[in-house]
Amino acid sequence: MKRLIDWLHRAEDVLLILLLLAMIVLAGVDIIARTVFGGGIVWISPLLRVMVLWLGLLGALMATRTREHIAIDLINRLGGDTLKRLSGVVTSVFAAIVCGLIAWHAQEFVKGSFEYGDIAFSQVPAWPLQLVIPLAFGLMALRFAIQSLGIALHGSTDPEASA
Amino acid sequence: ATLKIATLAPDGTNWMKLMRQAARDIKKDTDGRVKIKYFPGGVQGSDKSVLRKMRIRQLQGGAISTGAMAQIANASLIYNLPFTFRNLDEVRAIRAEFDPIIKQALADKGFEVLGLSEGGFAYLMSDQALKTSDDVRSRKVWVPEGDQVSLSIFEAGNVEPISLPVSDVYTSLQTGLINTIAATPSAAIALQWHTKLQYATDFPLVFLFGMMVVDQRAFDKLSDADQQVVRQTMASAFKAMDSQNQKDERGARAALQQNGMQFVELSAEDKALWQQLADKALTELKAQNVYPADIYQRLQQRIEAFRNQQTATAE
Amino acid sequence: MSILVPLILLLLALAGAPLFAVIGASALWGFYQTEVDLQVMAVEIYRVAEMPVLIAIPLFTFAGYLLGESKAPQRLVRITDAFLGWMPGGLAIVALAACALFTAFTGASGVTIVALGALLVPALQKAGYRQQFNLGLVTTSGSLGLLFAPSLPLILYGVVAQQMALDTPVSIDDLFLAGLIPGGLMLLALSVYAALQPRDSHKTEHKFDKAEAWAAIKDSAWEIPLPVVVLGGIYSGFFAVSEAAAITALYVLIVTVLIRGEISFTKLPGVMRDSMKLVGAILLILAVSLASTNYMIDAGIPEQIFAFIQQHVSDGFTFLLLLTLFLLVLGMMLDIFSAIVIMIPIILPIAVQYGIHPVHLGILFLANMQLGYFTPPVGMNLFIASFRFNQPVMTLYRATLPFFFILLATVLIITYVPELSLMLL
Ligand code: NA
Ligand code: NA
Repeated sequence: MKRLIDWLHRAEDVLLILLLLAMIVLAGVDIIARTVFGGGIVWISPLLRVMVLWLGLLGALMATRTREHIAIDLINRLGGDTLKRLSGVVTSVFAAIVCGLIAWHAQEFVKGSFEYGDIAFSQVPAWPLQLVIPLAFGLMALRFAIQSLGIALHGSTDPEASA
Repeated sequence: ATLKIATLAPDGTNWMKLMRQAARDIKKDTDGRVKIKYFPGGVQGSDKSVLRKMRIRQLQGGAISTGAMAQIANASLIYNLPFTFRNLDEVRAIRAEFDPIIKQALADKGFEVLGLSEGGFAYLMSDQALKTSDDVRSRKVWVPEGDQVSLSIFEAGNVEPISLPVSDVYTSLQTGLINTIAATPSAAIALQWHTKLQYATDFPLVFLFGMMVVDQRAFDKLSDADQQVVRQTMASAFKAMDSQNQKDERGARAALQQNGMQFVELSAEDKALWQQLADKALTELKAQNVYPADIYQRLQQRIEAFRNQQTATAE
Repeated sequence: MSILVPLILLLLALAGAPLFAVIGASALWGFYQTEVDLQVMAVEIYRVAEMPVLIAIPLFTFAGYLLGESKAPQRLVRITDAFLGWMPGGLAIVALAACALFTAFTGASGVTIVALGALLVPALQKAGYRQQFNLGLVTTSGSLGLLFAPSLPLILYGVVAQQMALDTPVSIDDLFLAGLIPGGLMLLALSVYAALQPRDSHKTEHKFDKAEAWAAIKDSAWEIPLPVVVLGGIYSGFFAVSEAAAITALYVLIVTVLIRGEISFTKLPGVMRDSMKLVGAILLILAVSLASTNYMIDAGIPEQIFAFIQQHVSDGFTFLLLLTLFLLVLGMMLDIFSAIVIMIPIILPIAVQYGIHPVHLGILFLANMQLGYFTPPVGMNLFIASFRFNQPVMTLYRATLPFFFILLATVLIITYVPELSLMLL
């Protein structure tokens, strides 16, 4: 189990770094094509926009490992350990449910996209590009769920132990 | 039932006013059974987003560009190919025969077409007088993102255009990232692009169309009588819109000239050269099955016949 | 029931639930209530891939993190100290102006805070300013600049207003001119506040020293071309904004890693991951906000609130006052583009009846929206800054409060003195 999780983390890291580097290189290629060869490459900007979505969701997935999401977190600062633990469990379960709901409806949506033959740009079908939405939200739901267990059992989100 | 219909057209335009009037008429004539709620100004997202929202039934309809509908049924594109029409009379002469073909092609894909609306001729506009494709080659030409037809025409003329979203065009014209566009006079004025451009090539590049489509699943839920009311009211609204649009385009052209834009005349040879380029692009697009070649050929024959008839009556 | 769900969501937010989950849940709940298929969440999230302006976010953020991790902040302090050391508030004023220009072409999406903040907060700290002030300044500056050309909201306002076929035409060029003085006034007010800030005693103003100035220039030789290339490139039409972002990222990557070697190859993946975590956190909130905005549009909520307000209006003065309040709330609820497209066609005809010039309305509308980005408790930029600088949101509330009141005062001046917007036309 631990090895599987390590492998998953490593895969996410590598994909994220490759995507970011590819973005920089592709955007650079586009500029060179436009300024030196007189015309841009038409599929680059729509591809870059999809990469933004992928990078964002992968980054969010990574932030979920260590629970680094934008939050207000007022009660935790005022309350004691029990309250902290309780709110930790409740908010994690809540986030898991929200992510799970989005993931479920997103996979329905991607299925529809596949059936209708939705086109993203040029001749590229949209569904493989949209697949990142259910995948990322599904994994986030899983991570939040495991964290809620971790907090309930050990009183903290051990980033090593959570997926 | 409420039909929620999205469009990129901004609120307050003549187009939206006529649309809202049609909605009021429909509500009245169906005793409130059919209500139409509009979402103008692109607040529901791009044409593609609107189509996705129709698929999941959040929206029941949209006023959508023919380019976006062409990915669903390529017959949507037959009016939108370069240099097909030379004037509005030619457009009007063939619509009775070809509108039903487009409607049927989309009906086969589950869309009820409530109306096709004429959007006016697009012209090349630039900061310099452009006559031949050689002139265009020295310019920085904008094409809308995802507009395959325009892209093919320019590439056929060895022009490498710059693809940008509509939202970036004004700034890009101002900074000089681009200096040549193709647009209808009314769009150029509405988006204020004309303030950065001084010349228009007086040879219509392409005739623009838009269409309002409704999800067949939603439309079928209305009673036959109500469907008839919606169809008829919308049909007459679209008719009124076409003549309104004709007026708007004429007004816009005059306004452009008033603002100092010069319309550059082309010689017959220049026009023939452009036509050659278009033919080259069309052959390429035909190979990619972008438009239905057989229907388009028939359309060209009808226009040719109409032109001959016009010259005959003129003599 | 209708009050219970928002209450629970509020409690969850205060208990530290991720904000994206709270916003997402409110959208899910709203759509569920109005019987819209919840697949709409995915449609809205996918719209992130249809917004060209967003391409700049990961690229600028990455560049900002690299600069922040390198010794660039020290060099920035040195060079501003050498040239503007004689001036009270020198670095702070430079920071304000830089943020305003950056926001003018990237929009107020928080990228200014993330990209420039990484550089400016440590620099301001080294220059001896209080941490509270530094945080407040950078958070506030994240939306400063919406009134300056070529800001997209200004262009969009021009296009939408032009459609209304008013007696007074609204040209985008006029809006660009009209924004100069009100935007400048905001900058000036904050600059004065910055100049009055106390700094650590040993870092007080000093005279200009030629030798030190030259040494500082040589020290920053690799950084100096950056603003020239980015700003010059965009304003001269050589680059589009997304291209400038790519150039910046590539240039900064080469300089910090290969040339200066201040970030090692082993450290680089960590910087990439950290920067993309932040991009993820921001884009995730943006994505679910698109969904919640869409729910409100679908249910016609902004129109209903405005109709309610309109009932209590009798004259131009009250109209403007209530409009200011309404716009502050609207700025917190909707993204700026939706707000313009939905509300301007409704507000503008009424405003014209009260004798408000359409160009003036555009400026005050955007000035208010700008304030909404850091209006406590839910202005988006407060959360982004809280995350980026690893500070509790409460600290950000306190830090931005003086800035908020200063800008609120300038917004009221801009609102009630139309000449400021109109005198350059
Ligand atoms: Na946008
Ligand atoms: Na907002």
